[in-house]
Amino acid sequence: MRRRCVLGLSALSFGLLSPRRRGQAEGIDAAPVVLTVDGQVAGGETIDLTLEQIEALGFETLRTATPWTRGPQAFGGVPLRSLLRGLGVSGDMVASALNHYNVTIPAEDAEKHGAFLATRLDGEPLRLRNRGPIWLIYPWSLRPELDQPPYHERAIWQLRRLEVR
Amino acid sequence: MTPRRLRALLAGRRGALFKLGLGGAALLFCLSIAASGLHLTTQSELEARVQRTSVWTASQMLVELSEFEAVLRGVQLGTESPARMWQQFEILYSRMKSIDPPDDRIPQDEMDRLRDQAPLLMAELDEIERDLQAMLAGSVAAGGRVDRRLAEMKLLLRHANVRIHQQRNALAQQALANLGTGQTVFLACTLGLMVSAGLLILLLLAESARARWLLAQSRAAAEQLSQAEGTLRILIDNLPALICATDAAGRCLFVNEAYAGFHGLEPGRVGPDLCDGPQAGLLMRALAAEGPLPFVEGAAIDHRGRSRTLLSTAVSVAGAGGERRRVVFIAFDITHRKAAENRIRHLAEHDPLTDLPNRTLFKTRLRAALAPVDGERGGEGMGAFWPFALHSIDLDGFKAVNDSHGHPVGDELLLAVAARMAACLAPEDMLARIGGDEFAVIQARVAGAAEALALSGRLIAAAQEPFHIGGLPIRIGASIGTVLAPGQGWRDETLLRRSDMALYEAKAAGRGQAVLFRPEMEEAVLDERLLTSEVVAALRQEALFLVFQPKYRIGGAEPIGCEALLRWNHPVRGAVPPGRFVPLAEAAGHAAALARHVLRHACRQAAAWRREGQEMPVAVNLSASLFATTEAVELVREALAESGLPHRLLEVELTESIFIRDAERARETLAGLRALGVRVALDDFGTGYAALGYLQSLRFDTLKIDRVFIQALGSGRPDSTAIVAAILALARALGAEAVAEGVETEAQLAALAALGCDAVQGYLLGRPMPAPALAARFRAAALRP
Repeated sequence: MRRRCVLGLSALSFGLLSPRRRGQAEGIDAAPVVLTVDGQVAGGETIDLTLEQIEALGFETLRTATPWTRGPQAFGGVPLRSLLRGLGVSGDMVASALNHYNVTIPAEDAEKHGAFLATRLDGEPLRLRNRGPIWLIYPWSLRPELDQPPYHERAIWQLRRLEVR
Repeated sequence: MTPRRLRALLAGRRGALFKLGLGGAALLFCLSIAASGLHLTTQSELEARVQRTSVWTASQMLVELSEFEAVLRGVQLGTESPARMWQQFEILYSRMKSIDPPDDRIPQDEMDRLRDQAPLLMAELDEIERDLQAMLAGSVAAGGRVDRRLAEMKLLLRHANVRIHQQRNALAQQALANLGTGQTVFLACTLGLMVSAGLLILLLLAESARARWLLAQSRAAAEQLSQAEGTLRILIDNLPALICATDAAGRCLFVNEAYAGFHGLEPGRVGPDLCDGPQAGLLMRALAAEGPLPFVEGAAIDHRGRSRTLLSTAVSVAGAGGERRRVVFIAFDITHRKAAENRIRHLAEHDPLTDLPNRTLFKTRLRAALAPVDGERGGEGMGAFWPFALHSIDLDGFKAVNDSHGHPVGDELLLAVAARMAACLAPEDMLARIGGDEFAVIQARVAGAAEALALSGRLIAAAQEPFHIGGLPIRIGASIGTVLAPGQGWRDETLLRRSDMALYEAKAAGRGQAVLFRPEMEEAVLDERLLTSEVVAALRQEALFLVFQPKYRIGGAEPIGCEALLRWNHPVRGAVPPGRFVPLAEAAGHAAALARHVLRHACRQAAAWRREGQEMPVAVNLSASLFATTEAVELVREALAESGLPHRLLEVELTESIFIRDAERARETLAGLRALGVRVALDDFGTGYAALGYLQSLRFDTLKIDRVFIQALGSGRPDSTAIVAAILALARALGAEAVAEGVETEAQLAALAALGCDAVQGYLLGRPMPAPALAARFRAAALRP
């Protein structure tokens, strides 16, 4: 019962960049879907998003180090908060990765802790082999208090799906 | 050791103990913390290692490799899309890559080995990627290579996985064990903490107890100090002395109540400073002196203006600051004592009746008058002094006034005489009452005898003027002996003795005389003194001897008895009459010795005669002075016992004068003598004592009629015969024998015979003679037919 759909209201504001909603007619250009948002979404819909659509929701850069890499790196991407606001959803969510890893992200991480959906490193899209295309990171360099195991665990890479609870 | 000393010792070491304990506790505490910390670090490190160990990574790698194999298999079979295969390859690639950057923060032994192989694995993956592309392009060989490479990689990962698992298990075991020892260490640390905390608490408690003890000690000490101070203050305030303390400058620091009371200061007020005034000198001397100054008597005025006498001293004491000295003034108000002393002295030195100086003060003044005047020393070792006259005064007829008018009148008279005599004197002269009616005058600054005699004349005239006492006209007189100093003596005793000699002379010369001392007076006295010493020596040397005068019955030729009479032949003066030497010996205190001598020799002689066959009683004269005691009886008993003379052969002769001295004692002595069985004769009867009352109660064996009456006999005077007749009648009436003394003529003898007298004694019949002569006379009479 997977359906592709384009969010109606977003056509007004985002035009071509509007996310597709399942159950809606699939567009001509078949840019790959990199993230699916479902669960407690208004109308019970499932939202599929391409990289372009995600970045259109509020692209920002974040310079930070990660526990898995050496030295600070220049990431590009969208704050989780921007994504959720852009989609009009809120709440805790279960994040799932392509490698079958999943972890629960509390809503406050988006609101308070600056959870960030990294899509680019040094301006280049993150490849799958480099924890792409979407890597949920935190501003560890700015906020050292987040450099703790629970946040490390929530830093899910190869993110594919967010199920809002 | 007493608890007190132990406590003191502990208190001394307490500080060190406390510090040591505190240090120990702190060290223990730190060690516990450090041990806990170290252990916790180790534990967390271990746990981290377990956590961090990429078991999950390794397993995931193997899983993803297997998944990729499955997808690859699907692609080879045409059931899976190549995109799906690439995605899975990418995931595997990223997994391999994740071990690529070696994380040197955490040592992961087995993982490190895997990590070392990471470049090889990545290179292998790159080969696989190229072979995959070749395989998709249709190369079967490439597909085979991929399978082979994957199999090798799988084997490698599986081995690594097994090792990592083993390591993880070992670490987990170690962590578990560590946790076990950790519990022990933790317990030990906790115990250490508890012990150190307990030790600290104990130390704190001990320290606080010690602090409380010290506080109590110091409070007690302060209390004691304050009590002592209070006690001292009360003591000082209640001392009957005036006490005031000042600093060295004389500023008053303290006064006690007595001082405040004397100076009228309000209570609690400090007195005025003593910088000047009479005490300033005392202050300076006290500061200069070591120890207290000697007490000084001085006059002071109290705040009520009364004159007081103070006995004061001052002493300087070192103040708290060492050099800062203080001076304490102490004074006793001795006003009352002085007054009492003066009163007592006055009483001791004055006659209570006339308030004139008494003998004591008179002698003091006399000595003072004889003290040499300063700076005027004369020759011959004698100090020069102002010449003066000493008058000894005795009132004539005063005793009679006292006897006839009574003592009150006598006292009045003495006061009046004293007042009159005092009026004759110059202010510097002195009148003193020496005895009952004896006075003395020191007449100051007398130029010569005439001036002295002029005063004594005035004094006699004043005494002779009639007095009117209680309405009675009274006449008395005065005799005065005068001596001049220093012309007639310069020692007080000499002057007094010489003035008394002159007075004696004046009395002897008749009343109302003033006699100036003459050296001859003293010669007579000196002669008497010499004779006294000679008679005492003669008595001691048995140079006094007895003669015996016989007594006869009238008409009888044989002596009926004799009277023993004492004789002394002086080697120079010849025979000295007993009337001269006996009083001298008795006055010198030898009456008893004299009597013993006479009694002993008389008794011996009588006993000797008796042995020769002549029983002749012997009569011995005993001095009246011996009858004042019972000595006479003892002497008689002693002489009789010694000689063995029958008591009836001894007769004791005594005079009426014994009844004048002490009649009662005389009676007792007489009774004692009569009880011995000796005869008692009353000598000189009729001349001594007017009253005859004693004759009623006393019995005498013999009455000896005084020679005065006998001498009158035969002179033709009828009254003399009447008296002798009356005495003889009285003797007969009393049952006593009458003996007439001093019979010197035949006429007297005849008259006595006519009157019926029993016995006679006298020169006519026999003079006193030595014992052999008397014995011869006795024998001659016995031979007469």
